[in-house]
Amino acid sequence: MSLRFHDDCMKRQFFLVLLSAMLGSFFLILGVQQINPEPAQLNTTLLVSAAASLREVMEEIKPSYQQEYPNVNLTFNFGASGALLRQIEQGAPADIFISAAQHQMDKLDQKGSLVPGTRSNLANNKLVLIVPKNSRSVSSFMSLNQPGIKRIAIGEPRSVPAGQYGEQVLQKLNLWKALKPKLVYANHVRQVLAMVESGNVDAGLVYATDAKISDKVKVVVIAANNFHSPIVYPMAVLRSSKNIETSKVLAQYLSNRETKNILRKYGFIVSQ
Amino acid sequence: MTIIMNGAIAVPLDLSPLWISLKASTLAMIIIFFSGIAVAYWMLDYQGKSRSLLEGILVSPLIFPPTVVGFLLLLCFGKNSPIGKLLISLNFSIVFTWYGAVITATVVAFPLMYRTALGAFEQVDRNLLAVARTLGATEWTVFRRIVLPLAWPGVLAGTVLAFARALGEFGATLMLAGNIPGQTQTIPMAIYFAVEAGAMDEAGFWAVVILFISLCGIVAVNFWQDQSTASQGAIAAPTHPNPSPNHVSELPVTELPVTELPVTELPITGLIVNIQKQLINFDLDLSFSVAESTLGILGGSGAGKVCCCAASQGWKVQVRAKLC
Repeated sequence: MSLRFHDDCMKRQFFLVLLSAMLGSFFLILGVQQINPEPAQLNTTLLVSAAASLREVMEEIKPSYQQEYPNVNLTFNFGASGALLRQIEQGAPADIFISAAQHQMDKLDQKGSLVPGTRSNLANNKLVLIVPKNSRSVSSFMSLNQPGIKRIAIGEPRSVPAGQYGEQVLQKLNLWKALKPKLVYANHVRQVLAMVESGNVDAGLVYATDAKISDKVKVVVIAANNFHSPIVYPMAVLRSSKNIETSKVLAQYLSNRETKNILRKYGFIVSQ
Repeated sequence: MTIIMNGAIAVPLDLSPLWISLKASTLAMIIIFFSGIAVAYWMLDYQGKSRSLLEGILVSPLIFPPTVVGFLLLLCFGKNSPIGKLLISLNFSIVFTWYGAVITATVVAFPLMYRTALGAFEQVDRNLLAVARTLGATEWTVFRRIVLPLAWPGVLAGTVLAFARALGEFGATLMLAGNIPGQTQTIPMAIYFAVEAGAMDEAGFWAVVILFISLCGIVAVNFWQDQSTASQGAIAAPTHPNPSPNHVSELPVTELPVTELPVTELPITGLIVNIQKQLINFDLDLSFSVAESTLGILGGSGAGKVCCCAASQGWKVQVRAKLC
């Protein structure tokens, strides 16, 4: 059955009813917001956009920070540093950015999106080759080349720093071309970890700290430091932040001794 | 990566996502076409207790978040699942292969085909099916000659919708088939990772490509459906009863010459009919022979039943008839 309005007048009426219903619901939404506004903003909310590999650390830091600064509400946005960079470039309301590579931070620095003098290096990390716990077939990077190894997970090199470092290592070992058909690109480093944990891939490249939090994977080999550019976690306050002063205090807090101890606990390398 | 710069759109060097997308969604569409029709036709007559539950299960991929579909498929086909283990022993893998892309596309797009086909089948007048069965048509013939032709526009629309959905599938595919450039990376995936990497011009190119393909398919179906609705009266009448009776019954069957063709083979006993008559909307072209059996002629008004009887009796035809 087709709805056909032979009567022109009826058609117009139908549209008017529809239009007024639409406008009505629109105003209703506005009205509800007016009547029921968000609780008065006594608290400041800070959003930290941080590399996916920092999740556990940040979540452990949060309670102690909240205790010290009860008026500041701390929220996180974890993801691949490349993806976070895109979000910030497109106007995401982040206050602090912690990347897993200098490259992304440099991009923001060049654009003048950072508050001068707030950039510092939080920690360092290592890249490791992991396999599912019960796997025996991989003993080194070179053994990835054997035909029994079907799939290797790695971060998408254009947006995931762990993937960039992984590509550098494989390039250095002259394995990149040969392994390329086996590579599954993940959209952040924790996805690589999940793929290896589930056993759906034979091996994966993650940070040492990621491997440490999982008991379903084992580290086969640690990539030599000189095979990739240094794995650094730069942190900076963003110029677009509405609470630059509070953010600076938070950045300072993230560099204090307590935080460093937590970072160390999870396997990050922190200078004294 | 990009070679031709043209404003916000650049043609990437590697066009493999296009072929992978087309390949996976075409294969998914073929699977869905047959399975969707089969399941919808079966559900048409199924009135069992678990009908609503079955219906829910069949439509669920449409409502579920893609991540749930991806997760369930991963559980189903992963290396630690029974199916996954069986496949490994056969040296075959679904996860992170091209087959994974086909499976997710099939699962996610199936409900669209199923729902549309079921709706189209439900629209078919049940009396026609009963008539065919009383005349001794097998179930297969009933389906092939009556249900399918009448429901065809709906079936076609469902197929194209399913194709468009399969083409656009992203979330579940990423989880099951993974992102492997040149193997499982489809257009939606290429868009996602291009945006993540900040390659907006590349993402723009793929967005235009996928919009173009999807729109083309849907516009083509709409156009085809309009065409067939407009000309349905003329085309449909001779082969099967006209679906709009009041339209036909108003037709005056004006006097036109009836030619009885010379019968080439002389009958021994029985009735041999060979009539060609030009009617207003179509040409009546009948030829059949019956021997020692009862003959029944069925058809909607204006299908040419009376004309046939009249001509076979040697009457000069000027009919204004109404038969039920």
